[in-house]
Amino acid sequence: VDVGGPISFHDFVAARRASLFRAAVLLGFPLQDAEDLVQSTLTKALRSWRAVQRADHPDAYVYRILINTAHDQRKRHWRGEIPTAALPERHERASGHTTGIAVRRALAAMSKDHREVLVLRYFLDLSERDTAEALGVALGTVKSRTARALALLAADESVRSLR
Amino acid sequence: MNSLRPDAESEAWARDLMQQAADTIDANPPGTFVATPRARSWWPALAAAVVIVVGTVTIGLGLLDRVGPGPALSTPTRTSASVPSVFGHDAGSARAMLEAEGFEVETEDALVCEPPGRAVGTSPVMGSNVSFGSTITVKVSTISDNTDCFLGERVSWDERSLAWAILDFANGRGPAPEFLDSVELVLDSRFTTARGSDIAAGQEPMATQILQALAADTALKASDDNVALGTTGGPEDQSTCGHRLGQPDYSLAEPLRLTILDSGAAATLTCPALTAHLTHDGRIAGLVLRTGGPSNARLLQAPALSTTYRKCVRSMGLEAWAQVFVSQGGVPQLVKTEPEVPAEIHRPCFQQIGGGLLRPGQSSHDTYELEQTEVSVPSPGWRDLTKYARGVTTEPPVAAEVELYLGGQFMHTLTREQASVEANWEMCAAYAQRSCPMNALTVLAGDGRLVSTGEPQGCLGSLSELPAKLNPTPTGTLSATIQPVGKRACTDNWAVQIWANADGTIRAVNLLLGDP
Repeated sequence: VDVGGPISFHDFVAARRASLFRAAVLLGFPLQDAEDLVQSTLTKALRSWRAVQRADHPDAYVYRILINTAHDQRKRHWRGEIPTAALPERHERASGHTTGIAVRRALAAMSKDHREVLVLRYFLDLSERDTAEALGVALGTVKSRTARALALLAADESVRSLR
Repeated sequence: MNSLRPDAESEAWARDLMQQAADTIDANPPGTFVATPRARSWWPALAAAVVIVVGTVTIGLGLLDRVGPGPALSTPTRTSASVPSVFGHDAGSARAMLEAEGFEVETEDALVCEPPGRAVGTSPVMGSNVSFGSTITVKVSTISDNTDCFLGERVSWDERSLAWAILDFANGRGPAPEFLDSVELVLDSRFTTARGSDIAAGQEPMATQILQALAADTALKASDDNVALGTTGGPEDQSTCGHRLGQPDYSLAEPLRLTILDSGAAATLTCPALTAHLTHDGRIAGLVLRTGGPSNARLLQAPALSTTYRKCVRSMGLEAWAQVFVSQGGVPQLVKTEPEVPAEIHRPCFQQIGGGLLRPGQSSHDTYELEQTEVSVPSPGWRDLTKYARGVTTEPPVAAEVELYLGGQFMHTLTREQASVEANWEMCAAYAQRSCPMNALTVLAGDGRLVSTGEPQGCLGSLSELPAKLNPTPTGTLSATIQPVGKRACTDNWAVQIWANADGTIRAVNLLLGDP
């Protein structure tokens, strides 16, 4: 989101809702729960919108809300299913869809910490510092988690078969 | 440490994979609603929208019963009819509606917390199947010296009248209320703005534009199975199925809610159909509508609806829920979710309305004496802290230093300057199985609340791992314990205790969290 001036909540939602929703799913939330998570996140963001506007990086601020809210909503346990509107193709070369599903399976197999750092760093494109801020951990922790998560992703059986 | 840094190729590869993973997710954003820029021919749309809102909300339901397909077309004679809702009509209109149905009508006073002269219910209740010629008693709001609705300090009767004016407008029996020049519309999480300057034609076109938006983007359809009834005021959780909705909040707001009730079910107050938040001298600054549809498809896609709320609305066959925001002095206020009236005070009033007038099938609704409850009002420090937490004010309402406690354990002290940085309020300890950081401001910013001066209620983090008593004893006087309204699961429960000086400046804050 271009924050040349104070961004309106309206513009932010228009620009980021889909990304937030996808991030929520990649973090392991079923679709409906992801909707709820995004809504809760946006609600909290709206209530603190002045603070979001004042933040150096409004995106990171809201992503942090997303992560914190996600932690709060973990009481409904995700059972690992990966809902998708289309079944992956099984006997053809890896398409983007099958790759994507494989990556989601790999994410599902990871710990929450590794999943979060991958989503924040490589889907939401946060810097290491912003990721640390969003996760509430030290910069070094982000670096080590990222390295470990990438290694896990590369080593995942379904992802390896696609390379 | 360089080994921790992935190379650019790995990062590019990861980005590509994550994007492909994301591409498998149909975010299905509802799309941006584009309001009609100019209402050239708005009366037909107004009429259509009014019909829709009427059908959705209250009075139209009885009418729809009559025009819809059903036994009336094939049955030679009817010996009974369903009592229509007359909620909100003046006594004369209510009488006329009921007499048109073939009923005899009587009226009686109902001591309720509303401007006088409005029909607030009937006996038998709406939705009841009653023989022609039976007598229907219309409860008409009245006020007596013994009625204390606790509205005087927070909300004036003028505001209540405005709330009813909105209801009249929504039901097509009154003029448009006054809107700001720019009105924020939120429709199933789609945001748009209707600007008076764009249409430059005063208030009625603004109202029309809003109603057009509702008409264009919602498939509101009254259900024969549901009846609608309205109420005003009351604790938030009692009219939102126990789930806190994500509406912005207004420091002096008093909600007007309309509630759709299932006439076939036993008598519980269920989902809200419409909520209006009003403040003194307020004009409408925004309107939120949440919709579903007979197929539930739109409902399921509406991210504004929580699972709890979704189930609740779906179980009722769904109409819609809306809320109206009103600003103070022209600037939309996004402050709080429920009236800042202690629930202990407010609830008797609401229960009286609910118990007396809102529950179909309930027989004991003839008593309207309000229970008086003694409640000590805490010092203002809690309110100031909440406003600061929510970004309403920029200066922390703290003394020169404020002590922060977590679960009763002293964590650290902030100067006033340090307290102006939200991150400095973060605390971390092994407590309540929560992940760090924990922050009282975050808790206060993100949830509705009630305030009391008593002990924290509900399950909260075990203090076994922490000193049983606050250590050290905070300075100042315990002025408030802030907790969310209604019963909470342990995971969602919290309390913030505040110690303040006599002038309201806060000396110490203790955050308690539920232990999952």
